[in-house]
Amino acid sequence: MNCRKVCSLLSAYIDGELTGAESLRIRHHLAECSRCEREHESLLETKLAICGLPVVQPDPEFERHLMEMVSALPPDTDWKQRLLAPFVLDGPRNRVRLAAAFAAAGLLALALSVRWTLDTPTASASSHVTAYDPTYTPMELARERDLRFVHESFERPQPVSYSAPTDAHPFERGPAVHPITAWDPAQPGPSR
Amino acid sequence: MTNANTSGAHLRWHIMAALTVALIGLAAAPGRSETQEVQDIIRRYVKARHTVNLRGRMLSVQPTANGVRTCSRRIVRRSDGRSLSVFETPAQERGAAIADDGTWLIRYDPRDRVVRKKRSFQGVDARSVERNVRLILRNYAVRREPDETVAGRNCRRLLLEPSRPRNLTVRLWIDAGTGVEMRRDEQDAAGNTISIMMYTSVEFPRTISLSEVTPAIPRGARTVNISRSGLMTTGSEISKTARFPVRFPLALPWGYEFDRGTVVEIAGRRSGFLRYTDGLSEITIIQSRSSPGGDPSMRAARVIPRLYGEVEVDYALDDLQIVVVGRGEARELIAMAETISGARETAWRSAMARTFNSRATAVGPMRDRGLSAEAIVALLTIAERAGPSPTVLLASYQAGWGWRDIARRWRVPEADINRRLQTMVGGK
Repeated sequence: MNCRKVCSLLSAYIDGELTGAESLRIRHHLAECSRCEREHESLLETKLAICGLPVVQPDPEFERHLMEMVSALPPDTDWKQRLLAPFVLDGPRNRVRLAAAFAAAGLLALALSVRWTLDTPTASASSHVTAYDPTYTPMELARERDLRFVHESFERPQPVSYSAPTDAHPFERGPAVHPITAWDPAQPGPSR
Repeated sequence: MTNANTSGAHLRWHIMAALTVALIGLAAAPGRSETQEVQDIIRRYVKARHTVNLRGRMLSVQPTANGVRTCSRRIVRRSDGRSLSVFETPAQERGAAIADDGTWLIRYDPRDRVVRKKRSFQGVDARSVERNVRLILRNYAVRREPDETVAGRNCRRLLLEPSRPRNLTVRLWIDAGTGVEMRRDEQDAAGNTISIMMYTSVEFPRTISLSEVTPAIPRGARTVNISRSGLMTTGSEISKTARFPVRFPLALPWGYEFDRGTVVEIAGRRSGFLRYTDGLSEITIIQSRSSPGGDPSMRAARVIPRLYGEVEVDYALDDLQIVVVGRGEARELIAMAETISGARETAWRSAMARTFNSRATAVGPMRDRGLSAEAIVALLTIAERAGPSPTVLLASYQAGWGWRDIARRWRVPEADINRRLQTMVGGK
């Protein structure tokens, strides 16, 4: 697994959405590659920071106040002129503004194009997509359906339209790789 | 005179004692007959799963994290074991069909026009029925509740409470006339209802034509047969067909036993398929080979909640990719997957050889039949204490008798076995 693929899977890895084998491969790569490990740490910190943000609840009266303010505004008869004002080339200042706007739009389009190219899954990278990702590939879909079918019984049909909730189980949070200490079955162990 | 009075008093005393014993016996008699009656209902219910002509509509309700999911199906069953179920709702499932003819189970999905096909695990022979009955009676305390009517049919209502409180509690409504399950409610250990399945209408016709239990599959539908073998009862047979060593877990969740296995192909990978049952619920283990390498002390797991209170655990271990699907706690299923480790198996077998000496030769054949470490330790301890051969004990065990029943039969104190279990499998 190369760095590019690992980086594209890091988010899914942190969210515990990868299969066991994929998680192991990433775990091993991170142990060997400091650059990816830094990327992993950074992403983990970002996710943790986002998780820690308080949820802002708007004031119950917010919508009413807003609508009152909107309705209190005087009718704007000159809206067309205002809308076109930045594009009227009536002076050197406006021409600079227009040039800057075109340049910014061009840069944005370039950035989006590069990002899209990097993010587009290749044939070899598509296997990372989890069964419940809406973009999952036909291969994963077939595996998922086969898996459900193999466990299915006449009495308990496994409907293909059902998607399991992804936020319902504590095991799904965080990197799903954990060390297990050696176990000697000849010795008394943890009670089962 | 005094002697005559004394003997008369003795006689009266004896008569009174005899009457008291008789009264106690009479009082106890209904209890025994009730137990017997419950057993008869369960036996009839297990037999009726595949031996009754039936036409009906079934409603299933399962709460999920996203809301309550309801599904209705049209069901036809024939007394020769053939069954057909066609989904009517929800809309996205409409037309999907599941058919079981006792040999093959197929599912047709109209959305991708694919027929998926696999071996049927239906067990209709007398031995399977008896084993299933024993498993249910062993793993659940069955209590009769007042009769109720479901879909116009008078039903015996049974409460099946698990021997271990963490397992599911099941309530069954069994048709008094035919033994067919008319309704089933399942609750988890916290008392949450995880599934309700009930017939909303039903009829028991004298005959059902073959066409009624044959799904209507369009001509252009593609068939995918995922089975690569018949049903097998030993690990060596499964491994041979799978072309890699398929391993049984050393530890099983409470009450579960290996049923049968087969070889399937999933997404182009040949996989060993093992099915475990406690009489009412199933656990499936699918094993396929993955690329070796990596740190052997590391494990990777992914857990996905499913319908019917089931959990899927994806697990990477040694050179195996393991999927476990079943009811119960995810931790238990992970623990089950963890004991598929080859290193643990080797260490445990060495410990068994040291403890049981020559009797340890029976460990290999017992493991090959899917017995857990706990069952093997218990059976070999019984063999050691009471003298029967391990083969005899294995036959009893495979007929559905638990090791506790077998220990009672051979008068080996359970405490002795528990002490052994404490040292050999990490405590009970």
